[in-house]
Amino acid sequence: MRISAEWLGDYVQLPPIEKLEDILLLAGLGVDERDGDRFELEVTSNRGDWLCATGLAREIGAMTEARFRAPAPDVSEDGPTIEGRVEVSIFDPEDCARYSARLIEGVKIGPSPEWVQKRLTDCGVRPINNVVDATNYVMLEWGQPLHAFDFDKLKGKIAVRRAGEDETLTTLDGQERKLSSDILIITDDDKPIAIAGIMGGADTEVSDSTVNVLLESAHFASTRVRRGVQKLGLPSEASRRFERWVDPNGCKRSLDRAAQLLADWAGGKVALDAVDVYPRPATPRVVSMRPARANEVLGLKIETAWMQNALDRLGFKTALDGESIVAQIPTRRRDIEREIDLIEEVARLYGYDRVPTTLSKGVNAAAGRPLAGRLEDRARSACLRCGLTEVATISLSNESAHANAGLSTEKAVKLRNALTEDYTLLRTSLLPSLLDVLARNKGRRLRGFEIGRIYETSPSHPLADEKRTLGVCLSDAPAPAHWQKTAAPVDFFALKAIVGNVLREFGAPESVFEPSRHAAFHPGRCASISLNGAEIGVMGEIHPLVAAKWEISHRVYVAQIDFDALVRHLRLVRRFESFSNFPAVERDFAFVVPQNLPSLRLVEAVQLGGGDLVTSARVVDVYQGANLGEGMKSLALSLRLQAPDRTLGESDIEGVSKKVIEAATALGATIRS
Amino acid sequence: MSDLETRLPQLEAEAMEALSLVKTSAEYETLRVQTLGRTAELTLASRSLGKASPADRPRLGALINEVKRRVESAFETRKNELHKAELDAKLLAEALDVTLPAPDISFGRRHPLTQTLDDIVRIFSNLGFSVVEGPEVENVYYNFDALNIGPDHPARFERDTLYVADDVVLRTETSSVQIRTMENRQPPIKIIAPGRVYRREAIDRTHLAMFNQVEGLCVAPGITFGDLKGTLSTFLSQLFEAAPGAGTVQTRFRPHFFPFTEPSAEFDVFFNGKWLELGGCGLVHPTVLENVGYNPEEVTGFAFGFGIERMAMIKFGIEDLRLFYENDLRFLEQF
Repeated sequence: MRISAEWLGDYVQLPPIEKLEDILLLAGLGVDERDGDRFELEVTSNRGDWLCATGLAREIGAMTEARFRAPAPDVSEDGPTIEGRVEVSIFDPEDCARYSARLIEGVKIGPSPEWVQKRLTDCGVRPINNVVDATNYVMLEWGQPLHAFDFDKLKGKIAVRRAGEDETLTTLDGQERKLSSDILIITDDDKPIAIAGIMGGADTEVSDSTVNVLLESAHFASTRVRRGVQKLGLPSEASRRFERWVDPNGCKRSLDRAAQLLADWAGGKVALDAVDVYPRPATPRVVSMRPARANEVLGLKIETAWMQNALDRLGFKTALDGESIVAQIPTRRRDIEREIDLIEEVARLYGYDRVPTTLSKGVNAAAGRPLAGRLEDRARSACLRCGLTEVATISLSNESAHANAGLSTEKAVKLRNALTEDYTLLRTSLLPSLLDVLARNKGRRLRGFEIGRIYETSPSHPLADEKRTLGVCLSDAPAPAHWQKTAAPVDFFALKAIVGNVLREFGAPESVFEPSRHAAFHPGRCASISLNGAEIGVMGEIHPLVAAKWEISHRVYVAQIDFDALVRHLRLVRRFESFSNFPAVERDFAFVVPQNLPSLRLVEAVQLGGGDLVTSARVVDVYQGANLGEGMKSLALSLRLQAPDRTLGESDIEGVSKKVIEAATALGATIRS
Repeated sequence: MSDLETRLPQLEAEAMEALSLVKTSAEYETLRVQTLGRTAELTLASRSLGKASPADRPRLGALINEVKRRVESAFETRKNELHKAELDAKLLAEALDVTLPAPDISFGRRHPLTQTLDDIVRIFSNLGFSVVEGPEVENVYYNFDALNIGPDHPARFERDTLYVADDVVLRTETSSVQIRTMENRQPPIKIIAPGRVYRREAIDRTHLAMFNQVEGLCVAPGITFGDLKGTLSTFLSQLFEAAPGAGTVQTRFRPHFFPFTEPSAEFDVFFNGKWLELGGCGLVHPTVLENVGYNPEEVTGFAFGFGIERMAMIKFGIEDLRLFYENDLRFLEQF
């Protein structure tokens, strides 16, 4: 439903526009869009009464306690009487509960006033002429769809009946419609003239030559109109309203209003009296509500008087009857059927936002593992997905185990009354523990991990600084023979791949590994793991002399990461990055660089220098040879170039190549011919 | 002074001199054999002790031992030095460029929808809900009638719902599972029913013919609208706690209309600067409770439903629903 605040303001005092938006939302009118003072509102299927300006204004009044002012229903009947000139018969009151009509004679077709055209346009209705606009205006004002016939094109009596199986009607839009017995139509003596509640016929529509107008205001059954729409595939502004519910007791008021506006804008005379066939008048429902029950169901403690007042504001006539509020529901609100419906009205007017948030008895909102524990599980699962087996080691250790791993015990938490020399302090690192595990599994290709704590005294921790730590250990014992001979190598890069996967699981970038030294590690095969400039771990091949202390003779690899620091530094939920569906181009470059230049420096320089089109750069070959010169190596890089929005041309690729070579040259690299 | 006494210091000086010139383990080994081996002069010196006069023997013996000990100790030190230097050199030669890329090893991933559903199930389990499942090919009665969706309701039209037969549909909500559960059990009931649902929809960025939904139901004496708000707020703040852009998770409940709940609401979450619609909820309509033989005066309940895809889209910042089912590796590998 589209409506402007300018129009609503005719019937109720409005709050400022932003506040109005909030009020509409709280009432249950979703604001799909707002453009200045024009709203596009989502009206739920139970609230036909909201498909008009007065219905919305009434609701706003109920929410804000502002008074609702209905437009005056006066009509001056200046013309000769309608009696004897228009007759209406309804075949089945189930299909049509009421049919009222008025005759307006001597109209002059022309445009409607500009302000009317603007209001219609604001509501998304195209202005047509003063007659049609008057019917649409009243439909938007009161929610009652009306239809105007060219009276002079009608022959004899108006009837409301089901169509025959072989009947057809050409509708306003020029389409010939095949009718059927479940479609309700309006006819004159000769022919169908309209599909009830859906669309009028082309033959009898108001045209520029129309002088006398027969105005229809009726109540058609929701199910009948819905069947018609379904059958014909023809929804309209009118059917949208009938399908929900149009107040049968409003037909006459809307008819009078439209007749008067039509006379005002098109200059005709309204005939005396109206035809009003209303075989089964709708009566207001009486529904009662126990305020105590309302409070019980909502979890509130609202006073009965407040509830009664709220229901009154909606236009319900209420009275107290013992412990209940008895409400007479106006016929425009068919959605109110039983107590719970009134309870919802109370909740709506009170404000869903003001209902206190509770949990039923015995429910603990904080039950389950805290985030920290769940993240630990996530790291554990990442390790498992890399094919690692979880190990569990004892936190207690001793001086010599630490010394053997090149670790100081200066800050270790020492025990005062150790029972055994094996357990004199708490470990300050997972290294001794993991070396124990490797030693236990000499000759086996162990791939293990542990998430455990390490402990140190610290001025900032009165007891001890306990850091959750992730350790990974791999052993390069010979693989058992296998006919496929495909055992993956266990080496520094196998460990790096595992650590990289675990870090990426928490959103770490690629470039976190840098050459490093550590007493326990092979001096040329040790890397620090850093995030945002802070070192959070170390990894590499264990120094053979350290391994020898554990009587391990093959190569073993260990990584240790401060898990708390990892979690602190990283993004825990990944944001999806859309990918380009345009073709990618691969370009290879070979550069000669000093042997001690970490390849990552070249990759970074090339990526940065190459610009946004470089989506990845990977080292695909490393070569050292006498022909390159003393202390030099060759690095071959494969660059992937791709644009998010187009296929790359030769000039794009050349441009990137040039920038890539410039960036590499600035780093001291020469391109290898 | 015997010859030996003159010779021993010479031998020692020569050995030390030679040792200082040794560069490799191999040279060392040759020298060690020369200096301390079976036929070495120093070794033979002890054997020649028998030829010395008995008076000189103790003195000479002590002297030989002293020289031998000093030479041996110097050799041992040198050996260690050489080993260390050689190990260092070997390790240096083995040095790797640790910044080279690691190989691509297989790293299995769970589908983002499974990850989201796992989170949903975990949170509701902690709040005391159990998980139930039901058929996807469902009777019209369970899908519509029992949920207070009357024969004329547009949702039942062939336009929106996929029919297998007049009275059999592909379920349009997992609410049907709630009815089946309530029919078979007495309150208190606290369940969530996740699963696939089907709609007759044209496929675009935000619509698919099939998606996953979670419906929740809690029926017990004294359940209130406040409990509904509390349960969903708790759930949403836990679901989005670590998502970028969530901040402190704010939720909002707006009145809405559903045939099977009253009062009904839609719930929203404030995310990345705007309110996003998540799903529908409300107190179970007394008619629905009556349909399964419960007395609405004795028990009340709340129900809610939302799409799992929608939650995942918000959490991960995905804008096209179709990505979930295209199974493009470039998508799947991001989660």
